[in-house]
Amino acid sequence: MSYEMKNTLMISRRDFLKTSGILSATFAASIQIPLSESLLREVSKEEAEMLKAEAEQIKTTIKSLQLGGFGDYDLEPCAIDVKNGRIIRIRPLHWDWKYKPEEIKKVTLKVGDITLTHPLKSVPSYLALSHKRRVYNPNRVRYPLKRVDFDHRASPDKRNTQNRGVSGFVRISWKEALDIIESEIKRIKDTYGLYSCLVFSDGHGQNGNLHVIHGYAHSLFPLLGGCTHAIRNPDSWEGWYYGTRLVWGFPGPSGLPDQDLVLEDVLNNAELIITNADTETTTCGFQGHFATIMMFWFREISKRIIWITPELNYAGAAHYFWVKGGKWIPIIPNTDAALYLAIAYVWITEGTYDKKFIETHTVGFEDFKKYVLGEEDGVPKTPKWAEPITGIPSRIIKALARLWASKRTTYMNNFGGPKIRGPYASEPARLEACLLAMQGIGRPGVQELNHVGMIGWGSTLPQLPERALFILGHPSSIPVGLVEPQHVPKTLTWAAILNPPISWYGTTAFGAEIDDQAVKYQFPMPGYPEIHMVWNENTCLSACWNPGNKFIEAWKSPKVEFYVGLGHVLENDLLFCDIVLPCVTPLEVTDTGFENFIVFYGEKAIEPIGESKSNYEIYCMLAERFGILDKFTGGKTFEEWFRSFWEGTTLREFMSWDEVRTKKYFVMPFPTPEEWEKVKRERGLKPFMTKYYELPEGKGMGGVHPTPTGKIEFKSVRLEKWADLENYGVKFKEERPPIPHWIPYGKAYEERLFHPRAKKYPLILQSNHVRWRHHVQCDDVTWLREIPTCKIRGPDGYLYEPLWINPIDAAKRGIKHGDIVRVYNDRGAVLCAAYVTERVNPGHVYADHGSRIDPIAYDEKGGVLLDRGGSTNLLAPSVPYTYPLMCVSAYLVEVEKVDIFEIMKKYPDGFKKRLHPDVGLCYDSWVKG
Amino acid sequence: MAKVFVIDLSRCVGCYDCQIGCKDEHVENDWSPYAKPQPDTGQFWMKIVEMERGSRPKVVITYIPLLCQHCDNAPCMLVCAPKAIYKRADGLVIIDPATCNGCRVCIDACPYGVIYFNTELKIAQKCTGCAHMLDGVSLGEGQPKMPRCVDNCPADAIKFGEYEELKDLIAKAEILHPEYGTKPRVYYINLPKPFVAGDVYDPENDECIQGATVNAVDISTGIVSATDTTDEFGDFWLKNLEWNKMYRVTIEHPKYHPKIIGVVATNKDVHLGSIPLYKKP
Repeated sequence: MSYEMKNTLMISRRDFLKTSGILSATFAASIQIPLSESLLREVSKEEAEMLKAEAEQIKTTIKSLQLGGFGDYDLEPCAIDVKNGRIIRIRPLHWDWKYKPEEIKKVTLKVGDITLTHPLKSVPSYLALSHKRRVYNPNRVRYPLKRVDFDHRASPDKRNTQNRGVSGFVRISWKEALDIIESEIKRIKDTYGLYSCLVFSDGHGQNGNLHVIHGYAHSLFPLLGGCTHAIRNPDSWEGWYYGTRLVWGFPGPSGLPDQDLVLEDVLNNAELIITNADTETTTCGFQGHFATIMMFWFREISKRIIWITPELNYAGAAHYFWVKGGKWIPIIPNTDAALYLAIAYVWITEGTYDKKFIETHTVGFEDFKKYVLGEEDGVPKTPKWAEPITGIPSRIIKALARLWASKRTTYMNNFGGPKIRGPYASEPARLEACLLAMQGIGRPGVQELNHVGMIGWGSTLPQLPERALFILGHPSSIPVGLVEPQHVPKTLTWAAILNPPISWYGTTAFGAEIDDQAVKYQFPMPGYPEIHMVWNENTCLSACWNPGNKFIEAWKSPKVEFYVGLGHVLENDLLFCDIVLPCVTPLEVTDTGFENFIVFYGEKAIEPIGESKSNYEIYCMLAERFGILDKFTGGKTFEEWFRSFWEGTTLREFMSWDEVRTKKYFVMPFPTPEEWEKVKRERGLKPFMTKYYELPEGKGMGGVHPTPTGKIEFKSVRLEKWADLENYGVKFKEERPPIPHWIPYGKAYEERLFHPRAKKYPLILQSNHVRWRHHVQCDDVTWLREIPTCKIRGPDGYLYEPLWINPIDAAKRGIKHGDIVRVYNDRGAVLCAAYVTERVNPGHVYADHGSRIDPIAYDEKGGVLLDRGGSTNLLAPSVPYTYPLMCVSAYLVEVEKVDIFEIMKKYPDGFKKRLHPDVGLCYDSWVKG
Repeated sequence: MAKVFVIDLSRCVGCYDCQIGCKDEHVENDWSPYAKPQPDTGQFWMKIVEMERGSRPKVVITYIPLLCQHCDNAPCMLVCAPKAIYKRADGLVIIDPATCNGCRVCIDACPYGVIYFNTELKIAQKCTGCAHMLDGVSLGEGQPKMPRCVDNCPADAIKFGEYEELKDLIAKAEILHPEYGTKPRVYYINLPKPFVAGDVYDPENDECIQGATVNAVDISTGIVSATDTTDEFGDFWLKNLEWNKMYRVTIEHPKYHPKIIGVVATNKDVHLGSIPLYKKP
């Protein structure tokens, strides 16, 4: 898009000039308008009094409306103003509402003379602040629903499963819904055993400690007789889980170093930050704008930051221009491994790495060096070699390598993006760790900083460890381990339904030990049944998990005799259910919120919409049906749960729960910089990697689950041991060799611009953690859908998902900004609107995943043939053979301009759904009567 | 009692929280006599205007929060026949929804394009500065008296207050289109000024050239308007030039033959791309 087009200020000036000559003459002469009495009007005293009296009816409650769905993981709650049972406004919570500013000890860091702190209010993101539109949304599931042509009394082969996602729903009563569910669970149990029920119940959702969180199915189903557990994989940081954990042996879910005190070290000591993080996007879904605050901390102390990202991401766009020496280096998606190898080449050939650290603290460097220098495969990994792969000129790679080595450099990571969620993502992740090791990670200012990990999992902020919260609310909200003997990784659940038997390595559970990655599992387990029923509380697999379109096939399979979904908006997987149960938003229930800055007791703002109920209430109703209510609730009332959350923390020393309830919230006290210095001195607190760096013999890596050598491993001893393990004829060493490699393509992935497949699909599609949604959440919010990078209105009035495309690629295809385009590969096709921009490279297109699926037509297998919603995830590839990696970014597609009216003629049935002009697909699109 | 907005574009991260806060406050809420409800979509009493500047990889995104400028010399007031538009003593310009007859003349008269027409209510509508809340009307518990766009901003990019309190910031600020002569009460810091950017390199050695001095010389005066020294990547940014001028760009480095780019016009931001320099013998 040209500068002129976007500069509406200029346009308004032109419009102005077009207006009458008299007016322009008036302005030119700059005549003063007299402020005469007649032009001044204030609200009268009486009116003001009346309005103030009305204001007294406004009651305020507190809610966290971020969408992480894990209790204390979500930050920055909102104040909700309510009048006459309706939400008036949703705004930042001012911490001095019930406390004097001097009573509040908010987080404060000191760097030299500069004090860095959080504002005296919460900073929720646009996703939370627009939540009035989420609550009062035409897409809300208001009542229990049954698929129109589903009859649970019919035999399993006569249930019209092919019509899932087509035929729509009718409203039924809660009694009927529960009757059907009860009788089907009993039937399934009697016929196949309940292990034939596949249960998804975890992960992101809405925020709270008791009511709206996901996970209770994993408490209920074991009590009923078991289920097959769909294991939540490390879905936002796959590469680190499968890669870096093998380099330094950290057992934690993220695979990154412990973040305690890391931010402080970076603020004080780093001279340069290199990043691919989108701090203005990725964390907005759960931590509000806390990451924005941190970016301004960096800016206040003039930290130099360089972004290496395929697209000019939203954080780069907001900050790099204002940072001295700030820079965006565009890279072809998912080629970071080649860049890192070329950087290593420069350091090795120029001798600019920490040789002492390599000698004492690492193993396998010599073999790594051989690979980098080309002694292993005859290909030296020079900057010139990396230039065509990465799209970065070799001189820039050299300059970057030299700058990185000459400064105390920290790599700042964040979740998501093609590097960590693309094909063979373990390799760039491992190489990143290797580069950090080459510069002596743990040296002051040389760290790996993880934006997301620092708040939820540990405390980078200067907070006394005993004050840090690890409360995730109800214990069922943490279904990250194994709860059932039969389980399947989420990324393979579609295959478990469609093509059993299947086998894979590693449970993919967050909490699994590293050695679990070499344990082979199979589905079904001997003596266990295949899948005949699905219970889905995370109804977004088709829109978020790969391979998206395979999930649609699975949902429509006649093998799934009964499919129940829970949700508060009717979208994605829910469209394929037989029974849909309506859930509330946090605003419709009383719940607590425990997070690192604010703990609150949030009374419900409004009554539930329609007949919706909280997830917890729904499971209680089911438990009651089966006569196990007391067992399920532990005999606790809601209020008893809330009290137990508070009393389970050390915070009870500060205030009684009754006082918190009265005051509504409690501001977590942080030490002053002086107090913090004292604590650090007395306890010898340091970042983990710094402690490791300081060990003279360099042993002790990874704490309780170290690498086999106890050191940082350039050559993974584990992967060496596992090298010949195989699955479907593919060996570990082909997909994860003992030394991290640049893997151009392999049996699982051919997603490279230089692979022959690119002749047919010559563009590489990038998907990120979503800017204007939290994955799929909030795609129906009208105030967000008006934002030009969120949706683009097509000539048919439909709001299409934007596809960023470079002007060169657009011109080649005759595409103009706003044109409707078909994005496709051999896995499916979706419609988007072209967003022509310099923010992406030629050869590279970008669209966030998670736009709601709007199927226009299905193929013969049941997959989506054409999707109007622009859900690019339907085009994502499958998993590698030896590790069930989630791969949802950086795959090949082609883009062509289409005439939407021609497509309408071709598929008239697909365009018959009733649409809301601004929301698009909604409840009325699917529910009859 | 003279309120002003001061908006620092360098702090605007483009999150649209201000635009959303305005909608949250005014959609479906009737704040008569200050304002009738804003339609759910289509009106932006606070609007983020996005500009994409330069070209890859020297792309700059500028976000401009645009709202009623609450002009002291407001053309909308002047043209409003039923005198529905008035200025409060605190400087805020309000369209009285009860008096507005929907003639739309103010919409055409406003050079900033910030007045919208509500087709359902048949009235003109725009930013009120959240005057109802400033007057203490309809506040939530513990809610400060300030416009919602200001309260929602996570980055303190939008300030609102007394002219006197914000004087120091205003000294660094500009107004949008001063040539309109409308005396706005909205001030902007870091309004977009054209840049000329690029990088220099040594093609013979395949290296970036650090330490070159790059100047933008105003052709009409011969004065150096901006200067920069290339960094490790050979990058230079000649910032804060003037729009619609002609500049000569000179690149000098002791070891290389100098380079002069004769005419660079700043009718838009300019990315000169990668410029080769050749070593002196």
